[in-house]
Amino acid sequence: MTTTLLTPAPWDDWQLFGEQVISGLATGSVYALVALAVVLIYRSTDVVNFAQGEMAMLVTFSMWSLTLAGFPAWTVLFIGIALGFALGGFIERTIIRPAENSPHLTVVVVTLGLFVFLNSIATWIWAQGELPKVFPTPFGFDSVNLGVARVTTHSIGISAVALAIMAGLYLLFNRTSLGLAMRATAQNPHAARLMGINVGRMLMLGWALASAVGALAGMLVAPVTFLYPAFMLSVLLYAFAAAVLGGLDSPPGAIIGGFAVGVAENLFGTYTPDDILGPEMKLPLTLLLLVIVLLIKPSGLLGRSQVRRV
Amino acid sequence: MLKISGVRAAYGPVQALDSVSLSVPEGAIVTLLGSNGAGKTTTLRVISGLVRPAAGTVEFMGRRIDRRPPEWIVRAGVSHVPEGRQLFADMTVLENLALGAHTRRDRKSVRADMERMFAYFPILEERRTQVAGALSGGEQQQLAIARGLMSRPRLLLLDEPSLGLAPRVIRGIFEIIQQVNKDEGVTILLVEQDASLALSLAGYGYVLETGRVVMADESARLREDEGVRRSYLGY
Amino acid sequence: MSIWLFLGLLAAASLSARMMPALPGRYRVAAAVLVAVAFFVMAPWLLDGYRLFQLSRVAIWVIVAMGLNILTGYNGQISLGHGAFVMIGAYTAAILLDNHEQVGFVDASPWPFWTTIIAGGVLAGALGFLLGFPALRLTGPYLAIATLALVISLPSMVRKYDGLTGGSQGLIISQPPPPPGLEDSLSRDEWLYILTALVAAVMLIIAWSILRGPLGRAFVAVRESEVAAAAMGINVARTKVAAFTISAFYAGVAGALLTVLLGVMTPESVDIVTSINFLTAIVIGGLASILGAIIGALVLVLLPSDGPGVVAWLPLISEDAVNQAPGAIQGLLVIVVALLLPYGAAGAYHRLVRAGPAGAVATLTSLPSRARERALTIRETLTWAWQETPWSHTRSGRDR
Repeated sequence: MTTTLLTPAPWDDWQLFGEQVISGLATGSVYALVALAVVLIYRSTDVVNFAQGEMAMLVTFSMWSLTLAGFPAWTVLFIGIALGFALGGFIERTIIRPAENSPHLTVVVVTLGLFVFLNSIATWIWAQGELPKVFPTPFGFDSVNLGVARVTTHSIGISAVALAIMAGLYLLFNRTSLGLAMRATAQNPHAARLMGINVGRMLMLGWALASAVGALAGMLVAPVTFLYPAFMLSVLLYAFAAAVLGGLDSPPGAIIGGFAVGVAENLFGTYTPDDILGPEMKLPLTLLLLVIVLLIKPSGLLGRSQVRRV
Repeated sequence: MLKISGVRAAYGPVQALDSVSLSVPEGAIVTLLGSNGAGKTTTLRVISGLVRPAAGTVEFMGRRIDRRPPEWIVRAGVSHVPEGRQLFADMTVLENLALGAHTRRDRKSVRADMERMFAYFPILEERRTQVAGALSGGEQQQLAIARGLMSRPRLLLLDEPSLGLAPRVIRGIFEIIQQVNKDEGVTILLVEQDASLALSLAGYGYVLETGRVVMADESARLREDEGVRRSYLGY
Repeated sequence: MSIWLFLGLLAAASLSARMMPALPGRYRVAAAVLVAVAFFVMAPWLLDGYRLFQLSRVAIWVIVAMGLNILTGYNGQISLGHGAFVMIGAYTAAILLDNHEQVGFVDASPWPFWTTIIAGGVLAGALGFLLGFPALRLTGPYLAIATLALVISLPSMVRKYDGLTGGSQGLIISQPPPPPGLEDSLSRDEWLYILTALVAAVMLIIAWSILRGPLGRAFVAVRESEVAAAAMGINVARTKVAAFTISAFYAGVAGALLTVLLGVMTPESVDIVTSINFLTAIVIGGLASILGAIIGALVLVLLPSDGPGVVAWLPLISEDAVNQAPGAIQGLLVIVVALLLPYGAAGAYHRLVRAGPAGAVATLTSLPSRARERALTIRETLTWAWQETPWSHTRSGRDR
């Protein structure tokens, strides 16, 4: 066999390379948002929310129904964020809170059960007709030439929105007393209660915020991936990879991890030889990369090495 | 000001308090003595709402506060400086103090109060931008007390402020506690292992044994008592 | 006999044997196990072909659940990826059992089926051994996600390397016939049931003897505290790798049996949801418990097939919803059971047994009032969070 490792090589076609990197950064920003959602919940409730993607999926499908009813794309985006916020708070209050004194694995299983539940509900309601559905983008799909690469306005739009959300979250957590209280709750809930912080409300708010961010990510990525009940599954996996890569308790890590995973995914898909690897293998390859990073830095790039909590 | 009557509390099957009654008058320093596991910490946790009593009542300034959540009780004017300090270790001194004032909305006077805390605890001002986890034990304890005072409590619950500290540091902290009590009019309920130190500070003391109050008297009298001397003062 | 009657009688008989006052304490467990075994021996006469096939599946999942319980329940390492080990075992068996030559070196003629069961276990165990070392460095959630990555990567790898695996078409094997002399008296379903149940029984006995020995105690010691375990002279790393290896071996054996039972193996035969459900099953059944593995496996098989039907009996639930969204019912039941029985079904069982016959009856009769009490507590904790702030110190009375 005469396969070279890089087929085609990046230096043969810089335009292609640039496009792959930039579109990788755009999808990476979506992964970063979902990873941020995962990290937000992990920091406050100490649980990896396996239903994060399905919560976003449910919201995105609901918003698809709204666009059918004639709502414009921008309005739908905002309603979707609000719905995601409400859904996250509701879920925390109804099924996560009652498990707060149960063994840790119980909460994990509750989110796994929620995963199955939401997936099935969405299939029931929306999978009757033709699948996948087309989800509108408020940014359009016009092509823009950036010199090194041609990109779509949608890619630029989702990157911009994602960056704005990240900046907003940074300000919330570092510049407001509400954010300070949320961080305190995540760090030491018992002490936080003694400060007069309503810990329950902070946890609920954490879930609500995470769910809103996740829902936004779902609505941003749906125009590209199209909409079907499992459309968030691979997004969630890449997001998990991103969150773990950056460190599960580190929001900046999640963002860096998101971009890294987005670019890595594209490069693996483009530059590995088709006959033994190629596009079908980009998910396993990305996950392999993740495992290798974990072996070198077991709590991610920016995560603090943790004492095991019970 | 604070009146506890007939409080019973348990952690699961373990009975921690068995009908505890005590009262703390306004402006006083009152101490709880007792060996490990006697129920001192549990008593404080019942007052601040972290543990719900199975029976009995807790009254603060004429209102019942048992069955209220801790965040409510803090707003009512009770501040609990817990055992082991429980600082937010990854946050700076300033952030810890700001969290102590979480229940307050008057930003200006919060800032003034921080300055007042720095007057009591000058070392904290030097360390204001360091994270709490990087402070020494004595500094951490000072920060914990300052943080507890930031909510402008009427009643301060102090749990083992001397734990793990050098005698000289302890003396400094106790002087400040006394000063705060005098200057700010904050009532103090103090749990302390070091009975002689606690009795020198407090005007009145309760002795707890296996979840019951077995003795209650003026500090001076407790110090004279044969049993207290043998069990807690060690002479 | 309906399977519910079968299982109900089994549970009742076994529970009464367990609590028989006439027996000395140490024989009671043995009696309960014997009663259960007797039921499973009689199953081919009591149940129809479909239910017997389901029980064969249960037997296979019991092996996986037991293996996962050794890893997660006893040793405290979370794995969401046991489906991958099952697939390794399943494909090992399928490749060895089918009539094709794979990539020029694997024999075209089928191996004797029992050797492939061992081979499946050994290969999965070897992979588990290799993965046990990286797992040493990962704590809870990181390990969970890394193992999830494993099980998600596997199907696309299976599809990609179709020279070995048959790609998305999968591999078809001819199922082993009943042993000579029994061809006439045993139907295929009965024979497969006996085969899977026997292997499951052997695997449970092995697990039981491992867990009550020094290695089992080391598993638990490491789970409770690695530092304390090391101080007691336990080699923590070796113990954790051993748990991973044994656990993967169990999954591999189960996978090989699955190939034999189904007669076909495709990339979809063990999907992500199944893999995740292994963990769900042992949490619902009960962690660190052999009984928990058995109950978990029963739940894994019967919940999807019978759960919706049972729920449809409830008032206010339309049958339509149940038929359209069976997964919703399943997910909801998982959530409810996890919340109501935080220590799993086995935990509840052990509580009943400890309470004794009279206590058990009392417990069961007090269930409604206890449920009401719990509902009240939950309501109280929920309203607590919304209680208004008190009279002093806040002007606005709002939190933000």
